[in-house]
Amino acid sequence: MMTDQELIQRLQTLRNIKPSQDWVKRTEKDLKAVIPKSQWPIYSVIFCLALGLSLLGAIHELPVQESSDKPIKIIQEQEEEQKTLTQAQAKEQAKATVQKAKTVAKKIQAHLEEKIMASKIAPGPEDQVDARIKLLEDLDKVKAAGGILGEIEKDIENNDYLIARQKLNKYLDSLKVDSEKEEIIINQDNN
Amino acid sequence: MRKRKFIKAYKQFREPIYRFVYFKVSQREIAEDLASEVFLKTWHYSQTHKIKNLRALSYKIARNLIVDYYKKHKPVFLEEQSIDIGKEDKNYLDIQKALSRLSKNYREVIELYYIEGFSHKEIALILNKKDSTIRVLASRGLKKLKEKL
Repeated sequence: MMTDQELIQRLQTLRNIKPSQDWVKRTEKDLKAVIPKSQWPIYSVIFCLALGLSLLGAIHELPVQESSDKPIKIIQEQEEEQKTLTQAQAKEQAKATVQKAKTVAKKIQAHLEEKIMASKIAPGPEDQVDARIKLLEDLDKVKAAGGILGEIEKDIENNDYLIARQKLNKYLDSLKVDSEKEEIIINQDNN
Repeated sequence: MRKRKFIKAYKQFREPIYRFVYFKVSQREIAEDLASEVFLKTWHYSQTHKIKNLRALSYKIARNLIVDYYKKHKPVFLEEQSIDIGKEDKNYLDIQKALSRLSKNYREVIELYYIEGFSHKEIALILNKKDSTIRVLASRGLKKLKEKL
């Protein structure tokens, strides 16, 4: 005669009965059809914002040169070397951050274009047309963001940190307004 | 209800809900269809009602769907149908057969308590019974199941 514990263990082996993967996929598809589409681009914009903020931090480390021909007072040679080294590091860091943000923007752009293309191939009901319009708007935003990031990169390269900072602030302000307008839905890890 | 919460719940409950339905209908295809319907109905319901316990709600919906299903179809017992448990070994079949010989009250409590790990309180909520009743059904049900094996 088996003990209660043994019986419970046998019962728990029934947990291995699972639905087929085919069913899981079908059910997810059915649910996607009834649940409103995710607002994932907003999420991506917030990611860009985070990158932007770290870039801002890096730029703030850089000296703002009002005019390149202004003499810089050197107190000690050692201090100067150290300062130059720090500035160079900050510049590199800022450039790397911009590069990273640009890569993300490109990926988002490619994904959006893919989605738009898919929605054109398989046109759905009227509410999906609205979703496509939203995707096109998001695509414009991402393209604009990519353009600004390119400009900021050039400004950093030319040591025009003040201009870069101004552009970045303006860009971040515009993002802030957009992100506040919309509800942030944390995207599920489906993909 | 927020989409994120629902998706999380779906991922968490899809297997237990499927099993819950499967134990009652004993046929994979039907269990899959009904389980899909459970989630669709749960989503629609959650959009118009305030939900306290999504898991309990999903199981309640599953129970109602099974009741509706049996209003239209004759029950198929394991003994009558070809073995439909895929790769699972003989143990599953023995246990399932023994479970199917128990009364509905015992079977449901055993499935929810010992297999799916619900608390007495949660089962009471799903089955509309008192906690104390669930406790007794779980204990007696296990003894009866042992006798059937």
